[in-house]
Amino acid sequence: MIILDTLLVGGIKFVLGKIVDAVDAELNDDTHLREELLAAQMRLELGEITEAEFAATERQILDAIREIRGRRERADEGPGDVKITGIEASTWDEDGADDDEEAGRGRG
Amino acid sequence: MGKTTCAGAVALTQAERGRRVLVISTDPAHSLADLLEHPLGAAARPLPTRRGSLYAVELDADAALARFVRARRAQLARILSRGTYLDDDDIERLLRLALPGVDELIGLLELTRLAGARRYDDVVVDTAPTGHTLRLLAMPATLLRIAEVLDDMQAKHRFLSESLGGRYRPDTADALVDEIATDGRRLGDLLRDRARCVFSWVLLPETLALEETRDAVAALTAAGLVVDELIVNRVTPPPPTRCPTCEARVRAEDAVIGAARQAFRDRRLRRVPALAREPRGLSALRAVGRALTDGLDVASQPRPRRARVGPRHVRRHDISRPVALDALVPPTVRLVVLAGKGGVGKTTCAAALAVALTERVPHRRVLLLSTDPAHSLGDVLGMPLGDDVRAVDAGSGRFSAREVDAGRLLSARRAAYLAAVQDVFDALRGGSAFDPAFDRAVVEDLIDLAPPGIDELFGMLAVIEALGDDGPFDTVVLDTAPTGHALRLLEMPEAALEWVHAFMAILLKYRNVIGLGDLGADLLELSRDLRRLHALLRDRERTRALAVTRAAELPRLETGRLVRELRSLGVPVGGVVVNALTPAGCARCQTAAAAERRSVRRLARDLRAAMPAGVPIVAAPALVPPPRGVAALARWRRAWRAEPSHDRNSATMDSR
Repeated sequence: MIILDTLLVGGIKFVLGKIVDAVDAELNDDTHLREELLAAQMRLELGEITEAEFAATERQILDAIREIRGRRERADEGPGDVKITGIEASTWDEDGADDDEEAGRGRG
Repeated sequence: MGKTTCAGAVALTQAERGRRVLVISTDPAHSLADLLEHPLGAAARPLPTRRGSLYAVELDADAALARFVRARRAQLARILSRGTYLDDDDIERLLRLALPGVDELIGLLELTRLAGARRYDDVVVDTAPTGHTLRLLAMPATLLRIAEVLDDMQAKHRFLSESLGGRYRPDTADALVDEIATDGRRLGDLLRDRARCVFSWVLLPETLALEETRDAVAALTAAGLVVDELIVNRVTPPPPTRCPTCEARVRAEDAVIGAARQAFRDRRLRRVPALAREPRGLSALRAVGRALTDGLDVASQPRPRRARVGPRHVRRHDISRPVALDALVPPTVRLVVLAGKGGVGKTTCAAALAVALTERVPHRRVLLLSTDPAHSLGDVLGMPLGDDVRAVDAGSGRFSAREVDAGRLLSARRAAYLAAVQDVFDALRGGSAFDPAFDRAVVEDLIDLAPPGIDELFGMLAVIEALGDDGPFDTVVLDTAPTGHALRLLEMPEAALEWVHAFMAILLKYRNVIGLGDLGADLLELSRDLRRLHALLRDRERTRALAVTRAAELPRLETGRLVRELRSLGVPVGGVVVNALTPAGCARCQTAAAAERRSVRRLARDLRAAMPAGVPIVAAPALVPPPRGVAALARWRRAWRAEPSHDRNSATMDSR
């Protein structure tokens, strides 16, 4: 049971950690946006999407990149206006792991 | 330079000694059927001999590859799905792709299959031209590497089966790995076994050919293969009467043969005299066979009396016009491709054109690029060249020259990709404790494997590099490997694009696991470059392919096929250069010149249907000694003449 608990808790911890990372990346990191752009370019090259679809995607991605840049510059000047304070999650297993076990991590 | 003729003659002689002989042509541009005057195919066909039996085959590498994959599809797919993360759709897609340049590999596999099918006493192989023959001989090692890659893919499956089931039972997939490894080993042994395998090197008595032979024999020796004899083909016999042209030629050839004897002291040297008529058909081959047997170079031939003569230009075409460079290579053209049989003078023509283009517009940046793995550009220009771009002084201006070294480029790419692949695996491992050691081994092996067709691939990349968006050159003159491989080169962008697209699709599919990274960006760029090159090759404004040939029947037939193939690929043909026309001289020279004229007329007739009106046929004179160095090349190029007969035809076609 202990092994099972550890696995379950560890697993949840791992997944939540990933989610935090993902949200952080979505908000503050443009690497994945560049990768999105590359993916769109590759899809266009392969003929999987049309020029118009590509243009729309490109606009969205570039806007998002600009937004991140702006946010980053503001963050350099003063305290950031976006902050992840925590993530709430509940599990279906009532007897199982504590769902507040480091369920959230503060991020600035 | 007569490989096919010598191979045919040796095969026929052996057969008529009462043996059972198979003669195989592995050059993708076959001329064995033309030589034997007998239709041939990918299956052995018997030829009418006086004694013994002779069978002949022209390999079809594409069909052979398809057959090889079809017969082993299930096993290959199983290995790929066990050894990689690819699913059935991905694997299906990869197995459907064409592999241009695989001729050598498949040629070798077919060779064993055909030779083993019936019991032959002798198998005579007519190989591809020099550079690709060297690749052919490296193929046993390549087969072993492929077997290793497949075996590594199996390793994970074996490990898992043993861990979970306790015992691993080899299945048909393992049998396939064994089969490929055994083939590779057996072929390697055969090629190195002097009791069973004899190499004869055929060359013309020309300086360039001797240089190429030196390089090739050194490369073969380094690979552990022994060249037993040299056959010097088409040696000019002493002229019947005093003739400055023939005498100059005999002297020049004597010097080459003397140097060959010096360089290859411990090897047999046979000389086959130039025949008054080009040998075609079995009875003509019998005569060549006799010449080959008698041609052992015991005593040197009687020397003709010395006469002081310089290089001679053709005088026969005085009535015809010089060829305007613009007619062959219009000013808008950015890529000039020279193609043709081995030994017809492609490299000399390419160098002469590079000189002429530099003279035409001195500030235009011209690159003379050789993609034949057996380079002779440096010998023609009379200066050392290499894989780096070097400046060549051309009087009024300068141009650049480069001999593409596919082997070196491949190792450089390997190093770069190995690092990228390591990154992908580090990403793959991520939080997991699994070490994907097996997968790492597979990919490292794959990168280590010298794929067939690398010469064509890197030749094409060199063109992209030179002419790309902000590429350093305005015009590229491309000296290609002989016909079959030149066509492979021109087909390469399309085939490579399919591969690149397949990889892109797979990368996109698994991007959540491994990310796109630098590999994705590289593939995207490559895909765009390939599409641009594909379009450039088919652009009438910017590209011209010129076929180089000699005025004889076998080259004429091959040129007809080459021009039709170029047209069907959509590559614009800018003209045909008929090289080495015999200048005025003795009675024998007159006879030869008359035969050449007939051949040129037939060529013009053949091409009228295949080429657009107004495309020039150019007559280029034989020079003794051949033009070497920028100044001599420029003079020679100015001596080119438009063939009047074709001109008249095109003029009438134009006026309609």
